[in-house]
Amino acid sequence: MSRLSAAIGAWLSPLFLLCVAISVYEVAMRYLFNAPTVWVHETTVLLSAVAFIVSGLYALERREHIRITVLSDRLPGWTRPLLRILNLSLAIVFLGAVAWGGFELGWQALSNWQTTQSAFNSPTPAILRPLLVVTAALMIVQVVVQSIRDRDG
Amino acid sequence: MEIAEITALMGAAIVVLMMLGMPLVFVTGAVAVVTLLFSFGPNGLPLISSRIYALVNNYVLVAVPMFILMASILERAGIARDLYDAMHVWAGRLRGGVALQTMVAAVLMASMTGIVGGEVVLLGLVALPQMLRLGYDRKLAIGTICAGGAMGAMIPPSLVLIVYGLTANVSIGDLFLASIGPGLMLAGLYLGYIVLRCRLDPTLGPVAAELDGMPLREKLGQLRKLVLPVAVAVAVLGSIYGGVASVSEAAAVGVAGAMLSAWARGRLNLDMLWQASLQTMRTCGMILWLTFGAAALIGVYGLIGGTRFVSDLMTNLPISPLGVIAVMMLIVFVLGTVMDWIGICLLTMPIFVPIITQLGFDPIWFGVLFSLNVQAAYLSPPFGPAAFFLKGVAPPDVTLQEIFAALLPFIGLQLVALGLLLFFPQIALWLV
Repeated sequence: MSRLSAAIGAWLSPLFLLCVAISVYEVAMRYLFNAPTVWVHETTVLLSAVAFIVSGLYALERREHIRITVLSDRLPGWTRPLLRILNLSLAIVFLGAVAWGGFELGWQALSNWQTTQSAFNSPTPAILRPLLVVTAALMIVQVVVQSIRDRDG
Repeated sequence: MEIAEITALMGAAIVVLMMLGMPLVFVTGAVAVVTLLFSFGPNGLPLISSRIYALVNNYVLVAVPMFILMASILERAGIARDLYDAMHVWAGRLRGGVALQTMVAAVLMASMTGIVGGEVVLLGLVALPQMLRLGYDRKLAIGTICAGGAMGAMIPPSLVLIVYGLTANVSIGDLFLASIGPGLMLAGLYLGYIVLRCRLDPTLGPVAAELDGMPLREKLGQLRKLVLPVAVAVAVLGSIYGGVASVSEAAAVGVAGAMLSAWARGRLNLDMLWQASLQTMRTCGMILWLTFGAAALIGVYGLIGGTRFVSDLMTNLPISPLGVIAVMMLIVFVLGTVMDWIGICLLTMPIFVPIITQLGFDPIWFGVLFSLNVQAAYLSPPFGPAAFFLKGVAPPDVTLQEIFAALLPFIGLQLVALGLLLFFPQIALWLV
């Protein structure tokens, strides 16, 4: 599972470079050739939003979500299992709500292939909403896996 | 339950869970979910994912990974170190020269990247050994590095200002313009402080005699390496100020420029770009998911009437409008000692900004005040991130206590700057 999380994050990270490339292309088209594009703006938003959502899974796998450990590091050893369970339940409450609450809208957006209704009409909602649900679900699995691994030392 | 009680409960839950070392995104997110379930039942749940969807589906947010990527590439290309070296040769016969030069280099670096962590680490690795070797006062050296590194929080292009602009819905270009004056003022205060301390007690900052011999031609030669990166910074900020490109586009052009500078010194390759993108992905995961939790929390809090509650509370305080601002700044400062700035911005600004606009203040000016305050929070114990970054790279005999003690005068100077800006908004607004 951890390998999957790391791979997803790693494979999607060049999306940022792609965003750079098309944004520069847009600026060049607009100023050098006076021919602004209609697709760059929305595509950049879509690509980077995909990366933003997935980055949560990646950071989770690397245990890099910001926490304040100055006090918790000094707690006695017997509290560790309790803290682990607390961490697990907080994560499940939040991610569960994201996945569960987003499921219906996500399914609607996906099955109707909902688009932005703009000039370029990109399928942003149809991609992002379900992606958020799937990522949150994967993050729950990842948290559970990590928690079990921590318990077994 | 009354809104006041709910507010107290939510606040207490967040503080306790945070102190127990739980990831902030899960703390804010879970508290939001519980409050939501408690107030509206399961039917309210789609609100959480909709808030997140609205947040990521935002063009301005694209600037965040771009600037992180730009900083990451510049760092990997060794440009920051070149910058430091080029400034170093000018320290010369001046008392405290190396400290002054470190501060100037820090401000220049800040105008290229705007990421505090990287700057403090780099200066800690490059400048601290120098100053210690030359016999500089340890506290002066440590304070200079942390305070200089934290300048990235307010010198444009600062991520703090971008996120503030996003939350407060004001022009980021204007925010950048407005932060120039106060940023330079703060740098001036720091430089003045170093000069004064070294004048009063010359042993604090000995003259670096080893640098005397270098001829002027060689010194100027050092500067040549900097032409390209400085041009990149100027191009990025210039196109934002000139209204030529949006912040996100300017950031993308900045990344391209950073790649060009890296290529010019033969350090651009696929592996480096790959590492830089991975680094961007990690940083995004850290800071953006935190904003998801905070956005969910403030969304729920607004729905249950919390925003109006705080707003009424603030405007009915028996103090002047300026007093209200001072109270807000105090809240931000206190939160800042235990929490990350991005969380603070998303939690407090949706409540504070409408209040200050209603009181007739300029949200741009308030944003600059906020960034100045965040900078002070970066340095303050018990959780000043700048101190932890430095501790990570400093010699082992430098303790956290020593770092925090060294930072006190600089925090004092920041409070002076904050006070000046509070009473003389023109310092920020004359350019806008």
